[in-house]
Amino acid sequence: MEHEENARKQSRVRPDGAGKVSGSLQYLTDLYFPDMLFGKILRSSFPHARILSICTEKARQLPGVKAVITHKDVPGLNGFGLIVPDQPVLCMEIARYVGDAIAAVAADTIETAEKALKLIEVEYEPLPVIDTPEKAMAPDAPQLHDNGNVMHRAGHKKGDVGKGFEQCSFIVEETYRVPRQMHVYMETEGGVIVPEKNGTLTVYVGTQHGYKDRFQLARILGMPEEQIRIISSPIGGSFGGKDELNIQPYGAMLALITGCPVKIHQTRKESVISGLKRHPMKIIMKTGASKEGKLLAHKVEILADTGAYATLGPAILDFAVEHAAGPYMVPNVDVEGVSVFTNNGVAGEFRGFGGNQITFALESQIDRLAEKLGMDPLEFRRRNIRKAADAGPLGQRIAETNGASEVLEGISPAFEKRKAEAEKWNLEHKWKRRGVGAAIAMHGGGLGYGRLDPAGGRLSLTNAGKIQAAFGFEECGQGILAVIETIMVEELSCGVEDLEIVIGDTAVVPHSGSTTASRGTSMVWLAVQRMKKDFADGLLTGASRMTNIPEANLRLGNGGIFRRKGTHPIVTYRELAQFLSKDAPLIVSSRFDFPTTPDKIDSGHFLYSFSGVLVQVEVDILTGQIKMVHLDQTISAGPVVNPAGYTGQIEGGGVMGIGYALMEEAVMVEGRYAAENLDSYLVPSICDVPELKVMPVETLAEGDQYGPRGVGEIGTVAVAPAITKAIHDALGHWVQTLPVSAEEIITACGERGMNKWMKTT
Amino acid sequence: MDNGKQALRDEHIASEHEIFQPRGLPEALELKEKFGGEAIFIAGGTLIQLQREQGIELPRYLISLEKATELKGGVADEAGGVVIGALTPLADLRLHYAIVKGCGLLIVAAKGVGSPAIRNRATIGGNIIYGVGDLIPALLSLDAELTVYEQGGFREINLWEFIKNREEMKSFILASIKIPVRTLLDTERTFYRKIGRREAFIPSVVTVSGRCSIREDGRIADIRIAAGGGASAPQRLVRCEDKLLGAHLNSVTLKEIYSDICKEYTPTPDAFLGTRYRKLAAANVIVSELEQLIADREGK
Repeated sequence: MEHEENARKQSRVRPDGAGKVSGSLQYLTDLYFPDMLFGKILRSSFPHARILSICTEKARQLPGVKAVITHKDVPGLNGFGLIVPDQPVLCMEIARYVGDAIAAVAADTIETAEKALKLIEVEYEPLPVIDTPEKAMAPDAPQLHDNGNVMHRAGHKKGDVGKGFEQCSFIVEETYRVPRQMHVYMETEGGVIVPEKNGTLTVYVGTQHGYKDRFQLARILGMPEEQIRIISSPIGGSFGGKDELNIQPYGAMLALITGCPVKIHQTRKESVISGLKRHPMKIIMKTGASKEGKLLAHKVEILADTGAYATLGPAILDFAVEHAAGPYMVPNVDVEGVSVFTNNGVAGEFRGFGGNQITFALESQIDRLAEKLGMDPLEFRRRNIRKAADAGPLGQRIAETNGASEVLEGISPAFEKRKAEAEKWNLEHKWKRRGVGAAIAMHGGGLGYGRLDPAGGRLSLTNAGKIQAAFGFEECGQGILAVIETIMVEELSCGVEDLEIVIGDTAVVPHSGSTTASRGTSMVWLAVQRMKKDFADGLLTGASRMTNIPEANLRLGNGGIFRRKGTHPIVTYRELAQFLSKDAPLIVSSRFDFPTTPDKIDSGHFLYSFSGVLVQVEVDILTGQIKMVHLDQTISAGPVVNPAGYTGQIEGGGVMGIGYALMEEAVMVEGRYAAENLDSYLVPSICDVPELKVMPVETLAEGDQYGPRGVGEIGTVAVAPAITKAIHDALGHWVQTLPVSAEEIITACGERGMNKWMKTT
Repeated sequence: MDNGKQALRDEHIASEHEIFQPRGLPEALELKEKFGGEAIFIAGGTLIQLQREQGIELPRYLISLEKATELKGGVADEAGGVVIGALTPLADLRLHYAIVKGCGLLIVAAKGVGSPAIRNRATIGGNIIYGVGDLIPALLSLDAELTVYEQGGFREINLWEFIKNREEMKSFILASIKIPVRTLLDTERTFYRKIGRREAFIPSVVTVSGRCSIREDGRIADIRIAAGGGASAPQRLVRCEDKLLGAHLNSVTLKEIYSDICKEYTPTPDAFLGTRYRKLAAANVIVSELEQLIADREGK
């Protein structure tokens, strides 16, 4: 069935594709302006220190230096943060991580700016470094913020876990640890901030939510929001990492002070040190089942390391808590999460948003329990999986979906096949063993109940005769332009050439909310559904007035308005635009909120997508190295909008998941990054990528009115537990810490006597 | 605008750094003597570029060896062995029949270095002078001889001796590498294995290489075992070699060799992998190769 669907649907060439692959497209960091200066930011020398004094005198005197700023130069609020503005723009008294900004310089060359940074004299008094969440929670720990070291607590209770465990025949309790992963967008943070002659400011810097940047910058600069224009697309990758402000405040202040455009473009090292990472978490799970294989109780404790500042940390913990039982129906659940401040970088928003961490633990538990029960792991899942009309994980009403079962059954046939392949292969190989593992995930889209989550869009016919679709979304590599183009062409029946897509510029786009949380595709589709009738009616009415042909006999088509059965336009959109411009121009807009559960359950989601992951790995018994052989993903996220874009998101997400499971970790030693560049912080290269397969399940529940769901995150979520299960299948060894350590594997092989000479202890 | 920026950058380099391109080795050495620690030799420049990116200050004077006529890259099949010019790019090694025929290990080793672009620039000489280059274990197992140019002329030195004595050497320039001819016995096995934290474009964690041949009477006729990786200077595991040379492979148990390798190989840990892993992985690979050698022989 999926094959038919795919065959029916043609992949679209991305509107931005040619420019990107040929390198001709200009990113915002490629821009140059006359009299442009270069900015550099001085970051803290210590992960935790009191700042005794800052002297910028020598730096100012360096020829070519145009401005040096410190906390004294922040005109408005010296703080930013999407939820709580607890991160100083420029530190005054205390630096809480190695990326904390102390000062910034604008100079006529990058080299002069770099030299000037070295001339800024900062006197620090180093303070004890809190480099683990456990240390942060100690009773005598130094407090990093006024409200203490606990950034956020969240929990969810259902039934009585104590009683639940009493009834269990099998219980598994395990502690899982997941790493600090880096986004590694190809384009590091940067752009140009231009002070305009009329006193306004134009900010050419990539972000996931232009209006939110405008709001935060206005607060920092003490300027009305309307005087700031954010041009924020295209972006060379973000994955959540550019949702929060990064270099914008420094560029803006330097531009305002010098009256010149200021460009800041972080080096990779600067990006590593200052940028967000995925939250490392320690997750303790105790899960029990009856001997018939019914899950009865699930107790979860989450300890997250949020680093020095909050950003979206609270929401990420909420998300992890919500997804702690995932797609399984468990009568007794007790989840307690705490996210704490440390001096380890800043953890924040990242593709999967807390889901990847909790899903690794949850799916690992399910596989361990299945082994104890002596039950096929997929059958065990089948016995506990949610039904279409079941409530969501927090007990909230959600849009009906059978996605969980669909993805489970989607991977089921290939599971046996892959296992047979692996067993046959193992007979022929002495020093390598292959194994197969599977995992599933459920992932909420949108920000959840109780969060401002507005969406919207605008359709208009321009004077030049283009059908303009304007959205406040950003293009960060995910392919939103192709999504908008596809939906517009399909829903309005116009041609690609008739379209003009406008995004990423607060001067011209409507509010659509943030380009996060797998919400872009959903929101474009819903917005167009709301606007298409009024907009089409407007066009047809106009055409009818022009031609005296009744509206009922007209239709929209490629190039203009057609007679219902006509083969060529009788009025082109251009002619229609000229005709209509005499009266009021045709503009239709829509503002609505992302659909949420009707139940008042904070952070509860309403629309969910699902993934079923099947992997085959190859373990090198001699070296402990893991090589991926197959990664198959079945995805349930409603109809596919653009097959190439969909496949790209799931494959790319899958590869990111491989990195998370096998090699990515921003190791910190006493609050400092051990790997400051991509020579030692590793992401998979093409040689680490196995054969990939993506199988969409496009069905939605009958009467579903929400259309295609976004697939930006779902491809990353359940990859790691499938990999560790496959390792277990190959060796009989359970992994509980990511990324998988080659030393752990080599030791496990030794302990199992897989080589006759080994005698490791 | 882009060009304007480039000009500024070049100007900056020119103001602080000086690049020399001597036509011959005497002149190159003279420059090095003159500037001492403020100067470095540069050939392909791939490593120096990486170190610069890592924040290591670029020395003020760069002495490029690329124009030194004595150092032309290339390979010659001479009577005593294959001679490889120090400036031969790693990507070129596989183009020479003499290397393909007699030193296949080198091609395997070269193919695992960096990325194609790096291999086009990086030279075999640079890989050796780096001190921890991936080719060194392979060259050790092939008994490579180096020809170095010093004050007073050229001198030949065995690679293993060179590694042990390098600290004491005065200024020198590596001119060429010779892989001596050796008589092939019935059963010979060579191996090279680089282990990194991902499949490709990755620094080595453990690199092992070796060569072992067995006489007709079942005794080991010749053996070289070398191990390096990461920041560990490659070393020949000479105690293991001595123990095995002349011995019946069956008389020394694999378990014993495994344990000996773990004792003799002294790798350097980093933030990602410790000493223990490096020892275990190196020992496993080497012992598996010896086991295979026994199997090969028994198969005959």
